[in-house]
Amino acid sequence: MKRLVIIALFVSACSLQAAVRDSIYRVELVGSMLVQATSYDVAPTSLSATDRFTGSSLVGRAVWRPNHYLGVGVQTGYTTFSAEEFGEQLVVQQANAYASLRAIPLQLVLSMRAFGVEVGTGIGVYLLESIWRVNGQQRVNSTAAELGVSSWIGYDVEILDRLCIGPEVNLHVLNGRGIMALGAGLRVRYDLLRY
Amino acid sequence: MRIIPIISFVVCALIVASCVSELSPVDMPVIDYSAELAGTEPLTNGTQPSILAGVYLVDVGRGRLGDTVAIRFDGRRFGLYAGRNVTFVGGAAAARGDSAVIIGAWRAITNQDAGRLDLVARASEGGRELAQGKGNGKGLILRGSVRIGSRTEPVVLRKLGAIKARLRGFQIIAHRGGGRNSERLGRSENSIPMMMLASALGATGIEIDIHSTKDGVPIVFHDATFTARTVPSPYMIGNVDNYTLSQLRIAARLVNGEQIPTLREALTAVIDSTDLSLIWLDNKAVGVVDSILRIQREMIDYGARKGRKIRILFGIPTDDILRAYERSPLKGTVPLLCELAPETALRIKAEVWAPRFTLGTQAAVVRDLQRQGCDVYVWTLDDVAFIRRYLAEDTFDGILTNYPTLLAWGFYIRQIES
Repeated sequence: MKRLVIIALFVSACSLQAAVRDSIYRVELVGSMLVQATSYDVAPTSLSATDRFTGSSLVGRAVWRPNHYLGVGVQTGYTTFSAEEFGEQLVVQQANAYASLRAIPLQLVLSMRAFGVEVGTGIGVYLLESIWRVNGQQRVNSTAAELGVSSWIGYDVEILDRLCIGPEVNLHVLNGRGIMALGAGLRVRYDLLRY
Repeated sequence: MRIIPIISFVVCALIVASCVSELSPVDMPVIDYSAELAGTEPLTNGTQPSILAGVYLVDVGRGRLGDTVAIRFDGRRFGLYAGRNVTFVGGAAAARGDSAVIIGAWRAITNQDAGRLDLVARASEGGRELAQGKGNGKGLILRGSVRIGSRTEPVVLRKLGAIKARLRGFQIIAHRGGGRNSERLGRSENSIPMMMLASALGATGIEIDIHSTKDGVPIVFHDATFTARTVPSPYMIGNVDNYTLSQLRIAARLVNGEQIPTLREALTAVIDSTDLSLIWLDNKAVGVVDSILRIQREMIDYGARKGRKIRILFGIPTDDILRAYERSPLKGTVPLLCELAPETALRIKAEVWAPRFTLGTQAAVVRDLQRQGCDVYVWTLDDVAFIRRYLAEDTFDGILTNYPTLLAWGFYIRQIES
């Protein structure tokens, strides 16, 4: 609740700061594909060789951008924080196990764009999914929701009237789980609506 | 003016990021007792433990410890319990020449101060009698200091009277194996290291929570789901019974790094390595009642073979667990603790009835059950006013609490007051 009040105050304050460059309202769709490096506060298991993993991330955003610098919208996607296999060194019955943590973010986002550079942040839940396979068979597909924040910075180059493309760097932080994931990749923006 | 929304944006991000509380443990000093007590003699002969144990008036150091403290000492382990800030000391005592020395680590639960305690019983102030095992210790004076960081505060304790370690078998029962994660003791709730600490916190017994793995192994864990507060391991999310014991062994670590113990591991550790005399199994998994009963029976026999006087009680907190118990072929093989109606406790021949404290002290009902051979433990009392009121009623045979230190202090002090 406290966070919502802060966001509401922030949006109200920013709405007074009308931009001079853009004079139209837009609804933008943004999709990003990123290569991602994830860092855990501690190694995920006692058998993990590292607390850092590489994976991939897809992000989708819909942002309403009035004739202000600030836009507001929603974000989702699919991200793999880590995946690892545990082999013969196991001291338990099974010979081979695979564990992976994936997430679907569902967030409210605020973003600001000027001179083609967009900076944004999102707050909301991550629907976490833990997937285990033991000796090739799926044993667990367990889910939970966790609060988290994300931020990104991107740059848009207009290639068609409504279509832009450019690089994006994205950060997911799930403080309660000790997860931080930094991704870099390509974004595509399409202006779905202008009025 | 363009800078204003940027600043607002950054400030909001910082505020949101800071709305996260840390659960990092409060560090107590680590003491090398064998080195620091080198050249001393143990205080294990004859009456030495009972000379040191007792209720003490705090002449100096009331700001830290309050007006009175209780000291328990079994010849090896030294425990001090203070009501102010729920402060406990775990340490050791020994004779050095014709005086005695006490060293220990202290921690206040409510304000999270921690440090070291050093006390001396001088020869002229009762230390000689303590070292020689003579007298009853009345008037014994302990002088020394508590340290917190680089600061040292003087302490003088004067013995008011002796205490009985276990008046009428009263049980000081620590919730979740001794304490909760929120108390930042550096040991996770329901972990074996927490159970090892319970006695130092003042407990004479513990309550532990039993859930089940997917493959039917009873484990000691409180919640039905894994959360970051209890198990931060990223692959452990959702329902506890989604995972096998093997998967728990690979990936599930408690918030302070321990493994989740199986019921068998926990009971074995408590029997082997503590002086606790009661274990209350708070059963939350209907599907493994038979396994729990079997393990409980085995562990009762194991304790008997080791000469341990320990009472392990099968808790019946819900009708579901009761039905599962009554269907079990192992029904009637273990002692029971019933949280349901007193009539149910009598019908199933429970050794203990355990009502919640919000039902009141129920003196008439409690006395009636006690007359019929049923002990009564009340749960869960954490407030000092309630603890003192329930102790003053003098009806219950035990109290379950998240603050065993506070209950121990109240219980031992009351022996002097009454």
